[in-house]
This record gives sequence, C-alpha cells and structure tokens, in this order.
Amino acid sequence: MSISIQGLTRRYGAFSALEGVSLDIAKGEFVALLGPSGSGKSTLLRILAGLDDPDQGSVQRDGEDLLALEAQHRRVGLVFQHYALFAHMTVSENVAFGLRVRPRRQRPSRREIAKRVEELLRRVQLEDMARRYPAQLSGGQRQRVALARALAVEPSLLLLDEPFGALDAQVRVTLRGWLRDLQRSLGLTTLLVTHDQEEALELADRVVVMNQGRIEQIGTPAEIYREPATPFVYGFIGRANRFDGRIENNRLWLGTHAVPGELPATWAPGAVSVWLRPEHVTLAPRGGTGWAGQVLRVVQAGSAVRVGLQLQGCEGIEIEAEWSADEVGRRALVSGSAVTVQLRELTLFHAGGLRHVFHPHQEDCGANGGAVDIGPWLHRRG
Amino acid sequence: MVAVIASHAIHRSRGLGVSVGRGVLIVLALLCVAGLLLLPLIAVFVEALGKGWQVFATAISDPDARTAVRLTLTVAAIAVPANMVFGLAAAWLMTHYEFRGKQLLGALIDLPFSVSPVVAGLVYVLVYGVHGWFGDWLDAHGVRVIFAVPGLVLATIFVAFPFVARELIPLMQAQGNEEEHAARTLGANGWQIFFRVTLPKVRWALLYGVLLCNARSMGEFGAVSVVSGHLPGLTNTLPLQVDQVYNGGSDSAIAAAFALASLLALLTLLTLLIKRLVEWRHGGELAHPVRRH
Repeated sequence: MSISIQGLTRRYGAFSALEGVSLDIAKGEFVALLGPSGSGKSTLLRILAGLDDPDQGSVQRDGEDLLALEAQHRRVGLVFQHYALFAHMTVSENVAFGLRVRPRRQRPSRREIAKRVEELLRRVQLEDMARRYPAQLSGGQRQRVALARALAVEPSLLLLDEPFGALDAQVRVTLRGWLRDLQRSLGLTTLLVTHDQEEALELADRVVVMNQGRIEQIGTPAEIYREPATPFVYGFIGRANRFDGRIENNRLWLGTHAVPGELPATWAPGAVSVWLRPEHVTLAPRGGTGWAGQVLRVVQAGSAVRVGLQLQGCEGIEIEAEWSADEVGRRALVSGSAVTVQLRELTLFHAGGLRHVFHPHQEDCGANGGAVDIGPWLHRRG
Repeated sequence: MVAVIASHAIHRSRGLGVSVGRGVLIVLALLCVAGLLLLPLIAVFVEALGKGWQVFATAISDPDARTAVRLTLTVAAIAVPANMVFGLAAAWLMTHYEFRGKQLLGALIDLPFSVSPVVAGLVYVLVYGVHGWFGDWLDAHGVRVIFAVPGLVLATIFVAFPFVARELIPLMQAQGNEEEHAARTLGANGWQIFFRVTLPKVRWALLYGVLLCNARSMGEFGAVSVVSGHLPGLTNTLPLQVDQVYNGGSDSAIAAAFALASLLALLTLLTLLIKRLVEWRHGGELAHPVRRH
C-alpha cells in the first residue's frame, strides 16, 4: 500500500519534533529514516502507528485518511528496539496475540490461528522455539518473534523502530540480510528508523535523512552518499573532512592557498563550506604532481588505513585520507613522512543553499608555495 | 618475594576481618529477628494456651469473639478488593499519564503512611459522625456510618490504601509501556490490554501488595478504634476485642486476650502461607523473569 505524508508537524512545548515533514512511500518500498537522536524520526513512526498525534498535517494510505483511525484499527505492524514481547506468554502465544484479540466475528478459528502461527514461526526460523518464553531466547531470536508477531495481523505497513539497536554487531549484520530478503518476498511496504547509516544504506530502497524535525534529503543510498544535498547530510553520512573556504576573484581559497578549478560564474565572493571525503584524497603517482603535505598520524582501521595529513598552505587543518594498507606499506608512510596528494572532488556549499561539486586542477604546491604550475599529469588527463 | 608474602598476609588478614564482620552482622541480625519478631510470636501462642485448651476454646467460642472474627473478615473482604482497584487505578494513572497535580496525587497516596491512624479515625468522625458535616444529611436518610460497619470499612480502606499502589508504581515505572503499545498496534482494545498484558506484568507485585494490604486491614487498631464505638458483638473487630478482653479484668482475661490474639497471628501466618504456595505453584514462571535493558 502506498503512503502519502503531507506537512506533518509535532511540537512538545517549545521543542519541535517534526516540522512540516512530507514523504511519499510507494507500495512495497523499503524506506529508511536516518538521523541523529532527536531528529524526529521516531516521532514520525509513532504518529504512523497511532501512538502519537500530529499537531498538523495528514497521512493517507491509498487515499484513506490513516490518522482518523485508532491505533488498534490501523493494521500497522510495529517492531520495537527492545522487542516489547509479552514476557508471560510463550513464543507462539506472543505471535497469536494479534489474532486472538480480534472481535469474535473476525477471529480465525483456533486451528487456523495455530496454523498461521506455525507458518510464521517457520518464516522467522523459530519453529522449535514455539513453547519457550521470551526470556529464554537470545536477542536476535526475540526480535524475530517480535517481527512474526507484527506480521501475524497482516499489516499493510511495517514500521521498524531501531530493530537491531540492542543487538551485537555480528547478529545485526546477519539479521539485516535476512530482513531484506523477507521484506522483498512479502512485498511489504516498510519504514525503518535507524541512526546506523550502514544499516540504512544497505537495507533501504530509499533513504530519508532527517535533522531537527526536518527532512534534509530523500534519495537512493547511492545518491545520499555520492551527492549529499546539504552540509548536514555530507557530514552525517560516511566520513568527511570540512574546511572553511572563501571565494575571491572567482577562485576558491583554502587557508592561504588558491585551488585552481572551475567555479560557477554566478557565485558571489564570500565564505563557503568545503567538504571532502577521505577516499577523494589520493596519493599522487611517484614523481607526479599534486599538493605537498605531511603525514601527522597513521591509524589502522581494518583493511584500510586512516591517515591524518596537513597540506602545505593550509596549516592548522588536519584532513583525513583513507588508503589501502598495501599502499601505505609500499611507501613506508609513518608520522612525519612527506607526501604529495591529489584532491579529486570537493563539495562546496555556499550561502543560500547553493551547492557545487568542485574538481580541482591538480597542481604542485610543494616547492613554490601555491604558485600555479600545470604539470604533465594534468596535460595527460586533459 | 617479601612483597608477595606481605601482600598474601594482607589478603589473609583482610579476609579474616571480612569474615568476622560478616559473622557479627549475622549474629546481630538473628538476635534482632529472634528478640523482636520470633519471641513475641511464640509468646502469643504460649500465653494463649498457658491456661489450657479449655480456656482457649471458651475464649474463641465466645459469641462476641466470633462476631469480632466475622466482622474483621467482612471488613477485610470489602476493604481489600476496594484498595486493590484503587491501587491499580492510581498506579496506572501515576505511571502512564502526565497531568497537572501528579505530584499532589503521589503525596496523597502516601498520606495514610504519614498520618496517625487515630487522626484518620477522628477525621471520619468529624465528617460523617452525627455532629459532623454530613451528619444531619446521613441521619435524615437513615444511614449510619460512624459506630457502624461502614465507618469501620472506610477507616480500614484509609489506613491500608498505599500498599497496593506503592508496590505497583516502581514496577510499572521500570517496565514502561512498550508492551501496551505493542498490544494496541496489534489490535487489542483497552480491556484486552489491561487484562492480557498489564495485569500479568504486575501480578506478583499486585499479590504482594494485596497481602500486605490484607494484613494491615485485619490488624488495624487505631483508626478503627475511633470510629467503632467499641460495641461488643456489634462493632468490635478482632484487634478491638483483644484490647477489650485484655482490659476486662476477669481471672482468665490475659489468657483469653492472647487466645484471640493468636487467631490474628494465625490469620497472618495463613496469609504468608498462601503467598508461599502461590510462589511455589508458579515457580516455573517466576524463575524466568524478563531481563530488562
């Protein structure tokens, strides 16, 4: 079922949890709401589930006003971070709960309920646990029971509130893949709330990045990562370096250094915030041109190595680069090593919400401190 | 090497100190329990049977004594369920809603703990007595509250009010209401949520609160004494009857009073026994409390 959210606003006293949020979710789509705590994502989920009411705005489900329905009649499945299982009921009683509380006329027979419960437990791979109590299960198993319980009432919309937040890293990754397959096979419209970007980017068809009650950007995981629409999204997703830059004489200045490259002609002089991904800082080939700099620190991070650098002409600013352990080993980089690097892509945010992806012309600023010298590397490229 | 020996010695001396301290504490605790709790309880039964079975049997088969037992049970049978309902409602209100005056409600729930029972009894006399605020109106309608059973019930409800709520509130606060929310999204209505989710979540605390409430209801003296009027065979509950017989001055007065007191003690022991039995029968479930985060 498709969901259309229009201008939802929810305030608690002076605090604004949601501020004019609009979002359309297509039938069968998996959408992740991603944001720091307090960004309003859980409030949105609670409103959809009927556990909270908005001050303004509307929610339509296939053209029907969802907010007019009481929570108990919405047929919206909700899975909580801490499972919220009924501790005094067995696993199968938990799953059967939503069917057993139905009014007599709509309630399936005992045998039908038992059959449905069995099917669902097989789906979540817990058919052997039917007679256990929740306290006798692991966290991952409990969350699967919670999911089966939510699915038992055949919801038209599935809401997941940080469902893996209380699980350890390994279980989380396993469950993630499993959840994605399940959601696909059911074709169930699903909304996931998370502050874990990896989870959001891996699971969702579309990601909604929220901050301070507003939507910052809606896009596919690739769009969100590669083309962040706002400085907040750039900083929140993945790792990022940030500088204060200036535009003067239609050139970009970082520190005392002018970076050659194309700028939009319409941009007025003034301050810009400059963002750079660690993977967009690359080591220049031996003898190649680039920016001279110095290694400040080398930190092993699994298969990659995070290297803290200082660029000449931009003293006082440490930037982070991410290189393979191989490369760092081959060049024997340690703290204090001199390196030449190339910045592949800078994203500039100008006042008034202007955004520009800037590809610096590679140059040598090592020896002559910022003079423009178009080296052979660039000629080859151009 | 020296250091190793020295540290070993320190460990041992500390271990010794701890075990001595623990022993002293255990002995002290046992002495307190024996002297303050166990000995008086034994004394009740020893004194009750001290003059022989005959005196005991006579004392408890006295018509006034039997009326007192019946009255005590009647009052408890009304006051305890009433307090159970009030306590559940108050605890639910305190833990599931935010409203103006919540602090005040919390303080009011505790009021019976801090007010002397005698004062509580007097207040009821002042409000519902013949010369009280509603005295004339009640009299005109032929309702007698003070020096009658309704007054006893009211006073007992008052003094035993906090037990259920105070047992439930901390537990309900710790449990939160996610399960209730889950039940709602699964289609349960208010009653279903209450009886199938909330009540089972708090049943042991509720039972414990009800047992404490019951013990207090049966044993209350002060407040009940003020509103009862001490009419033997009419408004004397068991504790009042014990007091009256004890001060009666007859030869076997003390033995008779202790005989009645032993009945009260037996009721209390019975309460404890029921609690143990329930725990034993549902031990399987009790052994798996939910781990909370």
